[in-house]
Amino acid sequence: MSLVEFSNVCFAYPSSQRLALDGVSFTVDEGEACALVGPNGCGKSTSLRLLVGLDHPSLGEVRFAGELVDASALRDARFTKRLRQRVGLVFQDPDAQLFCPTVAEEVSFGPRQMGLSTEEIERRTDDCLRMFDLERLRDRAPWRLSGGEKRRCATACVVSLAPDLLCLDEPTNGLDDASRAGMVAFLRSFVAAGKTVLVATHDLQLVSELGARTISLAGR
Amino acid sequence: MRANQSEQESCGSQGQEPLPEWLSRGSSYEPSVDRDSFARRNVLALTRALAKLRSEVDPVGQRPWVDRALGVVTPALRLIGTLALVACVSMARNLAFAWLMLAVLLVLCAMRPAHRIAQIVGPAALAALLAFVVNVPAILLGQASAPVRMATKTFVTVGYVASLAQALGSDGMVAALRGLGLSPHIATVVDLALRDIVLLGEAATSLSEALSLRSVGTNKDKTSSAAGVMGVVFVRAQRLATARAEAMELRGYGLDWTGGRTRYRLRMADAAYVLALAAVVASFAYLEGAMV
Amino acid sequence: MHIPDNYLSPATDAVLAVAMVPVWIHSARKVREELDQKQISFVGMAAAFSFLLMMFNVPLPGGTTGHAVGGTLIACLLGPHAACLAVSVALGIQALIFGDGGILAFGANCFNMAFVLPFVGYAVYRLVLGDAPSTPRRAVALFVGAYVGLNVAALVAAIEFGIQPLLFSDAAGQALYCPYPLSVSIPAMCIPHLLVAGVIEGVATVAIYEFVVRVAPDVVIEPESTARKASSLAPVAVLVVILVVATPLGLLAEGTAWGEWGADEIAETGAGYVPAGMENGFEWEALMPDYTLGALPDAVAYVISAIAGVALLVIAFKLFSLAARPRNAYAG
Repeated sequence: MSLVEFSNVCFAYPSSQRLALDGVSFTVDEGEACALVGPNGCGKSTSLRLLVGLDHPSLGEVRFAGELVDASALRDARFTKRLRQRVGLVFQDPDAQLFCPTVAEEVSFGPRQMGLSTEEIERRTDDCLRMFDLERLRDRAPWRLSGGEKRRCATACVVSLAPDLLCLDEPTNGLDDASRAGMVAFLRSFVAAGKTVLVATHDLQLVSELGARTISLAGR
Repeated sequence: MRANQSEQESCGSQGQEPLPEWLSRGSSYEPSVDRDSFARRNVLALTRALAKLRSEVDPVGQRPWVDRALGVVTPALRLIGTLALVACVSMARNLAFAWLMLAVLLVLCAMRPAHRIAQIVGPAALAALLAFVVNVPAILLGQASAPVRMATKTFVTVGYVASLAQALGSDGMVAALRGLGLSPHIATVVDLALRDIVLLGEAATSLSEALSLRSVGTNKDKTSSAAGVMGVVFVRAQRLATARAEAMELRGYGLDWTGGRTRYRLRMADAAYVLALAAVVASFAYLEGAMV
Repeated sequence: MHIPDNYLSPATDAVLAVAMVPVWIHSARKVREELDQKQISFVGMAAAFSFLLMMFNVPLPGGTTGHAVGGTLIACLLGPHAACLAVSVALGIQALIFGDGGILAFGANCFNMAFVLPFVGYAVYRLVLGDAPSTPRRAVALFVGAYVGLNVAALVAAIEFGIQPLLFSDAAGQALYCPYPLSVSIPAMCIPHLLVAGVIEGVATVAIYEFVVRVAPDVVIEPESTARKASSLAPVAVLVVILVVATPLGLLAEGTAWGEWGADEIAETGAGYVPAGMENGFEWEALMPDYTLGALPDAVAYVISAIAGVALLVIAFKLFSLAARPRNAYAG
């Protein structure tokens, strides 16, 4: 059974009559690194949104770990929370994702929600800050960070949830060489540990560095 | 990124950092049911609704032919026409004129897409209901027809105004007001404020979505999460405004700006509209006179 | 066939109204399941055809007038459940705004014209259509279905009229409501419908059905074999406009339909007295009684009524369609 399964998915945003996704089908297996590639506007970000249930397909099915992800499934609060812990989504725009007063609080938000013990929360926060080189920024306000720092922070605060599948929308946008190398190294470790990564990107170098299988979304 | 020697290592190949143990093991998280899931869902729904509050003007190709034809008329003229219509309906002592205008309104609505109809009929029906309820005491005073009369007139007037508002959109309305002599500076401020509301709505939506995605358990401090979202939105608004002011200045906007208005020239569509308006006023006069 | 108020006893009205409630609920659910957004919007136009057909009064033998209903037409285009809702809404508008058909009798009118008529008509249509529909066969099936549907509905209405004197009379033997027994009501209603109104219903059904299927095949539920290219409804709208403009022709037929007399007319029709239930019965003040509007000439008011009725029906079903699932087949 694949971890992610898109079957003939069609989707149009309510305000537009144009189809963002037109009969898209693909699977992602556990432990894979996959990349959704295609030109701008071909539906890469949309696919990720459908996977975590922010939007629902007009036609077709989206499945995670065999379970259907649609409006009625998401009415079950427990299912939704479990889904969003297992699938971590890092938005394309990090500004849209950071809402806590400090970086440390941002990273610890997820674990705090999960009701983990204080030591576990601290451990996860410290590990994430270290992995993404944010230790000296832990008490800084997120909106004061530079573009690349924000992106690392946004990724860290999703990783702290310990997801099984990490979805990233253009993860290398705006990163300098050092940060980029770090991001790639992290993603490779993540996959090496048996986890799954799904990136939406038009950075083909990233794709080859990750050794990712490409899934092309045909443009319109 | 540096490795932490004391952490358990998962299989790391050369050059890659080993992941911490909590990250590399499989997740077995079982969420408890949080009482606020209802609120959580609804906050997101609310911010999404706010972002949709701007009644976006449909692209020309999607509009019914009636709206396409009306769209060619100068917005300022349409504003005058609608106000004249509202005045006539309000002044009509004979309900016949109100019914006639209601019939026209219904026909216009019938040609529009469903969501546009809802945007017109919704507020109009609500206002009419209010007018009806407010006028019910008049029955006791011997004016048995008052509630229905007022409700009808209210429905018609609000319906036409709502029609115009959603046909022009917010920028069309501002353009209409500018055509009637509104200062270009004020018009720009209003315009930008309206656009800001849209952008902030979108920002609030994204942040609420991010919050919702990471609310995977029990949120013991809901107010500070909400406050955090609002705070970030405020900061972004401020930065946006500053950046835009700088951009405008670089492109020549200053206090001596005249707004770039050209002189008004009469067009065919405007003439036709004025004729239609004259016919409406004439029928008003006729129907009113017929009653006397 | 619109039954006015006070022709049926309140008991009869109540029974038929209660009987309709589960029908409406079931129909609404089925419609939501089977039809998508564009089709539900189109139900409004189909309802408009029915509304307009009901405005074309034709003279019937016996000096009364009658009209077609179009319920089978909608049933064959969009399913009997959609027809039930469409005709019900049309009847509601007619009763509330135009005083055509009683308010208390609304349930009875819906039972006859929105339930019996479309379901019987559709069943007969499918029976005659069989397994291998061809265009001539479909035309025959449509005609027969519409004809039978209308006549069965007329029969049911006649029975509803005719049992009133049996069940509801005062001590003196005078009927409280409709004074004509079954022996009078059945021939009086059924013969004109069998001879004239049914034929008109059949012809109108075939003509409009074929027209719609030719210009807008993707909104109808069958036949499934036709192309599903998204089509414009403009030709259908044009037909509606033409019918609206032509409605004053329906005023040419003088005389009131059988069973639709006012309290002032009924004594002359042969009963000799005005039943007590009608004299003191429920009166509804419609906005445009009998499709007139104050001092306006009848023809003008008739056209305005037609316009208003059509607009209301189209708007109503477009609003209903907001609750429907969006169109599946994205063309081009």
